[in-house]
Amino acid sequence: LRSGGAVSLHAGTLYRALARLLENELIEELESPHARHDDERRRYYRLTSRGIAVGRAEVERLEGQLAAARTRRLLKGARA
Amino acid sequence: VKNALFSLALLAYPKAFRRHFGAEMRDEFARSNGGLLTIARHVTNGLAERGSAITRWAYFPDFTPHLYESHGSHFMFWDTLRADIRHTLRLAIKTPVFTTLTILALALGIGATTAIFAVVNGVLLRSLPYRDDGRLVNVWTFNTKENEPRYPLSPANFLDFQKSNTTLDGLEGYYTFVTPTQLQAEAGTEVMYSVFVTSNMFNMLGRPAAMGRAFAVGEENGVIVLSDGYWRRRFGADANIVGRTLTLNNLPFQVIGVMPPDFVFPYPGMLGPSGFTRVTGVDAWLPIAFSGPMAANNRMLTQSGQIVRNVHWFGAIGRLKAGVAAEQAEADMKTIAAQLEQSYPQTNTGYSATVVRSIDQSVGRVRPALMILLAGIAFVLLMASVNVANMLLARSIAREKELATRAALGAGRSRIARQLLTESVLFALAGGLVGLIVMWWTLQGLIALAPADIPRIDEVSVDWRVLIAAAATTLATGVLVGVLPALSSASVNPQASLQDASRGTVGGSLRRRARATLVVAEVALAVAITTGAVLLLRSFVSVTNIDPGFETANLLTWQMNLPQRLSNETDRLAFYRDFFARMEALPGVVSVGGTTRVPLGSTSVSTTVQIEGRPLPASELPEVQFLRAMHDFFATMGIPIRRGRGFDERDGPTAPRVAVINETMAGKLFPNQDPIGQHVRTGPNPSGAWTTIIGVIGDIKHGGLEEEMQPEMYISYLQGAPIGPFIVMRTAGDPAAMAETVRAEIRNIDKTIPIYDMRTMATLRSDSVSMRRFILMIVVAFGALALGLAAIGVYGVMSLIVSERTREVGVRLALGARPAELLRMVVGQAAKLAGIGVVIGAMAAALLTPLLDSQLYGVRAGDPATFLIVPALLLATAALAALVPARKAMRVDPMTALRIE
Repeated sequence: LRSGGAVSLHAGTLYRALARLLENELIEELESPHARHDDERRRYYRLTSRGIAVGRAEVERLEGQLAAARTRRLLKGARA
Repeated sequence: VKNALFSLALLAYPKAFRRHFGAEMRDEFARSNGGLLTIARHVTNGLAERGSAITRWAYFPDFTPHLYESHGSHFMFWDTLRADIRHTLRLAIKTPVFTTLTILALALGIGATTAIFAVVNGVLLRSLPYRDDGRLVNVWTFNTKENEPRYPLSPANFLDFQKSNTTLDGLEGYYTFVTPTQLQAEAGTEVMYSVFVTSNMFNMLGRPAAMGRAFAVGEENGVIVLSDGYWRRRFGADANIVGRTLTLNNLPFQVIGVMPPDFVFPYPGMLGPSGFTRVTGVDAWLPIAFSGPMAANNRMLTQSGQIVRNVHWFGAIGRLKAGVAAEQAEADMKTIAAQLEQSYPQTNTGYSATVVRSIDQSVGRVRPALMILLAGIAFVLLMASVNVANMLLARSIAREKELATRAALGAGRSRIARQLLTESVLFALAGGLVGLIVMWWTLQGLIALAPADIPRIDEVSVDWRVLIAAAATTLATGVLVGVLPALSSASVNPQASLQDASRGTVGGSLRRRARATLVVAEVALAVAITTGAVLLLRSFVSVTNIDPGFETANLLTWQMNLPQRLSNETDRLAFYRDFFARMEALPGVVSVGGTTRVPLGSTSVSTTVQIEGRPLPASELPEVQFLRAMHDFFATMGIPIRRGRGFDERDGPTAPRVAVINETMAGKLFPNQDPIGQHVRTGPNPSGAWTTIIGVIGDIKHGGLEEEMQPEMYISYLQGAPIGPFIVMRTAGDPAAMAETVRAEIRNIDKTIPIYDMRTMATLRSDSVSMRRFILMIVVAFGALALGLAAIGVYGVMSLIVSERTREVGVRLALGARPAELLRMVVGQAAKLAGIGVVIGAMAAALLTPLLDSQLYGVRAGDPATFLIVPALLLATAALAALVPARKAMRVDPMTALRIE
């Protein structure tokens, strides 16, 4: 998990999120790439094309909101 | 341990989720070394996941994402349950009579049980209305001479206990009786009932006033705190009451506070054996003064100004220090008492100490009786359950074909058992719901019927504990009722049943035995309950047949106080002479008398006596009850004079002192002598005039009908006029009808005379057995219910057996059997089952009835007559119940019976 240590996720929450992503087919599970010398319990997921599309749409949505906040100078005080 | 907890927490997640991610989560948990908090969060997460999965499944049954395959087994539980419930409801609607009867039987059982539990909960289990009440204890003197462990303390001893103890966080005192206090108002003088408490009492109990404040420490004069009830009743809940001044016994008292509505102190159980009134409800509290004029007024001080040590009328209640047990406190108090015995041998010899938990002090007396009720109702519930189990079993037999079909189509045993259990639990739930209504009614009835002297009966209500008990009873009943039918049906053999079904034969030997067992159990339970009921009934009859020693009919009694202006003996006697003359002149009055202790209605005053010619040390003097007889007391009460004479005008204030004693005193103190003419002197004082005994009267029951007779000694009121006497009046007609006439006449004499506690002697007598009557009524109801249930049970099973054997009966009839033989056969079978039940029940009763001992009077727990009558009654009931189906068997038409083939 790459979050730079900023977010600490409870295992249950993480796996529930994974379950939702799996159910909505935004990610899919892979065979282990290095099958031999790997921990059997480790699992690998990859974004599906649909997942990529949804991810892009989400980034665009956030960007739009960020832009709206900037034009209204919402962040000005915080920066200074 | 942590891993085990984690595994348990994982169960919160749905199965599919667990299967998919469980191993990883376990791995992660092991690596991250998570704590309890992590585990708790897994539980909440899991339940949330489960909840959202169910919601999604409920709203979008067709869209079930791949993690939860659309017809996966993880929803089977709910699916099956829904199917079973639907099936049960359909069946229930198809057989309305069966359904109604079953639900009603369960509702009655569950409702009545819960109602009794609510009473037990309210009276025995709920905490007292004080802060941290588990740590409160009552401290008493243990009077070892009279073997009275709960004897009041004397004020000086109380102060020593308060000062020297090391185990209590505070010990406060109170008078062990309710004091009728005269409240002078414009309309006339009335009586309020107050209790004196030490000034720190309310702080120690941890209850502040609802309005105003309670006494401050050391605040001992001129203040009063009212109870919520009195404030509402007497002052119409006047919001400005705090600060008002009331005139009590001609002295001004300022109202400083009103206590909250739920506050009660003291409970009747905390009061002592002596007092001035039988009233136990408290209108107000006054502070005890240990010095000053109030202390002198209340006889707290000796003539030399010391605090009294030799007279005992204090109760004490204390708070155990944290971690200290009541036994430790008792050891502590006993040590102090022993030191006091050393320091004050004159007054304290033979006085040890007792410590009792306050909850036991308050309600301990009614615990055995209530436990009897709880046990009784548990038995009745058990019987109702057995009955319902029987009905369900009978129905499962009738449904054999259905169940066999299911089994043939692939339903496993556990699946069938589960369906039947679901049915019985559903029945129980319906019964429980209806039972709540039954409970509410029963509870209202119980509270209305309960005698006023059950402590805390007005605190009984339905709280969470009662609801939990109702839910638990319901579930337990459901399982209990369903287990036998479920087990016996689960092992059904589909092939045999389906083949057999066409021929109308039902029931394997297993189920036949199960049903026989139920009948036996039912009869046994009925025998046990009925035996208890009969024993209590016989006790009640013995108690009510006790001769109180006087005639209770046509007697009116009341208590009154003399006006305070009558300060000397001569004035009082003049008043009494006038008073009795005017009372006797009222139309419809036969005679009037008075005493200082009304039988069955007030508490006692005792004294030690010396007998001339028998010198004894002060600590060994015999103790007798000390009373005064006024005017025509003995004749009015109908008390016979056995020897000598009663009092008359000759025994005036200046005449030689005379006394009349009862037969018990004559027998105890003068066993082989003529008591007439003997000289006695009351109190330990070695000098003073002797009193001559002039008569012996019959014993009368003062404390209660069941109480042992005590030695009693009367003096004439002419030689010591009381100021708060009980008056008794014999009337020609209904005494209650005289009440208003009497009140009006006394108002005419002096409107400042307070009259209170007016009632007929018949009421007093009936009230004195009210607790016993209450228990009896309930237990007899249980007994009747048990008999009825047993009859229904036997009837149900026998009619089933008969209808089952219709074919056999037909064959027998066709082959020439006489109907009378068939009748004997059926009734005989029922009698055999009932006989086994009766034997088991009688054995159970023999084991259990000793528990009733506290409630028995004049009859032993193993009373042979009862143990003969009850089984005979049960056998007769069973035979009668079997007669109906047996007659049906007799009338079987052989042709029809055989044609069923």
